[in-house]
Amino acid sequence: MVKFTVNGISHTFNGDEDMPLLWYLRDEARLTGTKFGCGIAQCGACTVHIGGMAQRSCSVPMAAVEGENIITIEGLEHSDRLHAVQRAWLEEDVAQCGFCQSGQIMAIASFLKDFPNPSDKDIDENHTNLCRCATYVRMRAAIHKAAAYLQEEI
Amino acid sequence: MENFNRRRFLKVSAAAGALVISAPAISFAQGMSKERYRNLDTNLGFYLKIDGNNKITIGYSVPDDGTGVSTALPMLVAEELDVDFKTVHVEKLPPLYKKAEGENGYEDQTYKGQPIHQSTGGSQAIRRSYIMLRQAGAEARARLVMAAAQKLGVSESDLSTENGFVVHGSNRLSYGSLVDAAAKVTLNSEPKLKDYADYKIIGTDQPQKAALDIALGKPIYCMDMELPGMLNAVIARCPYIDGVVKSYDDTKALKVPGVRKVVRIHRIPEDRSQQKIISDGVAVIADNHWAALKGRDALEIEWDDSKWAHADDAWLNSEFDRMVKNGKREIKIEHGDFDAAYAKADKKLEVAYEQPYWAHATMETPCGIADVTKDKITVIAGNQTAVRVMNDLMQVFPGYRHDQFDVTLMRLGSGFGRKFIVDAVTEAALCSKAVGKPVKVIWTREDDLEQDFYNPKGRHVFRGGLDKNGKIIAANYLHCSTDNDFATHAFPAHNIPNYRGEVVHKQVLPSGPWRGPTENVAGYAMQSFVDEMAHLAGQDPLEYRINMFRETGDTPHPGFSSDFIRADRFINILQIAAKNAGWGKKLPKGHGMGVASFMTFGGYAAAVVEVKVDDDGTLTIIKASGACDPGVVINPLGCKGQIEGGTLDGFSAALGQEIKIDGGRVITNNFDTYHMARIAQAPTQFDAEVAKNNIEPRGMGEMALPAAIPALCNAIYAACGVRIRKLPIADQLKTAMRS
Repeated sequence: MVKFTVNGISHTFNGDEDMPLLWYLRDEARLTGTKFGCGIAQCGACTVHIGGMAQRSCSVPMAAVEGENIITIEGLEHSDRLHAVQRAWLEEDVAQCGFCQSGQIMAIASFLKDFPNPSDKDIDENHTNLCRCATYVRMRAAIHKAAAYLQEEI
Repeated sequence: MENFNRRRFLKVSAAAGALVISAPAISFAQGMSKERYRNLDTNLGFYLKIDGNNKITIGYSVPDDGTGVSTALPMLVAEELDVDFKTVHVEKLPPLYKKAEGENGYEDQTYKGQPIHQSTGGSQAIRRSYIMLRQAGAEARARLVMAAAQKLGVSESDLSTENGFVVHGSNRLSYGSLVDAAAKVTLNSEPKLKDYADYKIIGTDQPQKAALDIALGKPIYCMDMELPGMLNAVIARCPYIDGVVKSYDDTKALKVPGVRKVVRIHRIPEDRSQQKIISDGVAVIADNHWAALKGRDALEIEWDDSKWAHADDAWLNSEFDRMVKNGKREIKIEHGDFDAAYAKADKKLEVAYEQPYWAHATMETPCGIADVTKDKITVIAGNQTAVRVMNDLMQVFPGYRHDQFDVTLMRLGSGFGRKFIVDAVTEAALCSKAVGKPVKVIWTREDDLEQDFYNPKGRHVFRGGLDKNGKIIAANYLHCSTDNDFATHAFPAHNIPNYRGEVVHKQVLPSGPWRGPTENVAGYAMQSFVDEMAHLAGQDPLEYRINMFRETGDTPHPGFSSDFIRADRFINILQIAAKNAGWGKKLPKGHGMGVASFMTFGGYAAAVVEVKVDDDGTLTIIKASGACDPGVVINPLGCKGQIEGGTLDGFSAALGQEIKIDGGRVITNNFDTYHMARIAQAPTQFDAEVAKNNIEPRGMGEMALPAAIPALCNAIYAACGVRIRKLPIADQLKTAMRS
């Protein structure tokens, strides 16, 4: 049995511990904001936070989440207030099809903890999530904007 | 009067205290969920509804794949209706048909005599809706005004409308308070549409309506949906091109916990000389996706790979050599006398460009949900057209009538043409029928990249001749392709007095529409050729193009969604892009700027790209300036997004994307081997601009890409003198700079 929390709620899992966290979240917890994109940790559409760090949930087996606190896109906003990254994403009108964007937002929310005032080079070197609509122009603007919002919140 | 008479096709009713303007349809008379449409007459097709609480809804069947139609379409209605566009909701309808004379008894539903457009793709959604949705808004507004005039005992000319109210001096009547009366009035004439100069909503920046749902991770895509009691299926499809299952053993698969059933899926069509719709394979149906995947891994299948076992990239390239040398050429377009003019040319160039197969790699892989019962087929799909979903399913399930289908289309996790093909949902229906329960089929990324309907591979051979002044007087364009779709008529075909466009076709991998079909590669080839000719003439590539348009003026362009090219529109966007890029300014060492322009589906695009190429061949895209002229711009913010995305999508394809085959199968089957651009490859500077005019609009989804790729290649040449004659660019610059 594996015990962990998702968005602050306790979960227990008794099934196949090889199953990636992604499919637990989508098929069992019915938290479908976390998306499937490649299954081999290449695209980042499935990004969630495990212990506050961005992880690609398609490649994290259930056996590895024992005792972990997991946050998904559904749990990113706090007290009905959008996370700074979500706000910046809306203001810059980043999304097109939108399918990769929950993973993008989760990845950036984690990235900005390590790089609170990122340069373009920091973004290029550390943000590798794939966007098939190639919304990278607005995404870059939104990342800088979100960083500024987070600075204000401190 | 003819227009006015058409109004008899309309149905205007006061259903449940709402004004409803609709065109009658039949498709969901019986099969549809009454619960979801409980406030409406179940016999409605396209409709505009205003209820007593001022809630405005349009029922429409065009899905959104990220190009922003679900934002732009309400803007069209709101403009004529005079309401805040944010209050207009869109309810996606199933396919809309009406009864018709003829063989199958059904045809597309019409509104005011025009067929209602029901797909996203071909850059058609806005083009086909621009008049219709405004007409519906104008009809409703005219009725509300007439109802208010009768209520107040004043003349309609004394009334105005504003943000959901009919206004008479200080008296303001909300639309909601007028709906009952508005449904009963008789209009004297067809309501007049607004003049372009009076638009208040069309032409304003509006963020995507779905943006908040997307940022919160709400379930809005097919892959997120479920039906009660649903099972999940994963299918082992024959990885060999046009191959089939010889034999299989499912003993181990059936022992995987959660696996319920293993089902043979037969190729559609059975005739292997025809392009597949459904691949031959074996489906594993299980309680959840993971169990189905494990079950699939445990299958033991022997494939028949005999048809294309010899096919690999080297073989394919030799096939192209043969196509160029002695393929059966078909002349698509010819004017003047190429051979005579070329023989006399002052300077000549003979050159070939190549591009590989590209995959769609839609972010949401193909997915479909179906529940097949004795009396009904319920389908949730992520497809670009509801009509084709139903028509294709009717081919596979001929025992069912139109009104026994319940089709719901979700928002698409991108489409790019891939989701015109109705495969995943058909597979789901076949599985559902076999297992007697609803089934969801999810394609893995490997399934997607191995089994795609690829953008065709091609080789483009040009011979061009200049006169003493550097003008192109002769050109011969031979396009060899794995698909039978060509754009040899595109710019600059009609700007060259002696021109012959020819094609040779041989199919290998299945192919299908991919963002800007044909234009996407013709743009690369034709605009690289023009650039080479400009350099051969020793002239500035921007001025060279502008002069071609100035000298020739408007030219025919008998393509999809267009009849001719207007020279002034092309010159305008070339100048916009050049100005934003700072064309002609002194650039640092190693930098270069390239330009290209191309028409796609009636929309004009120009791109200027600045790159830096280091001594070791490292390429950096510094800045891109994209300008488009689609005609009337509904939502500039959305249009600019399409310029940005389309341009970077072009860069992504040009930089690294290449489907490779070996031993008769695709070997680049996930993002580790099929290389798509990340944010690091995107320029940090980008200017997107749309032209302003009141010409009937064309769609924005596809026009930017065909100009973006050659602009990038032309910039690379300007920066370092290396001409990209083969895509992808990959590590060509590193190799070239070393030598």
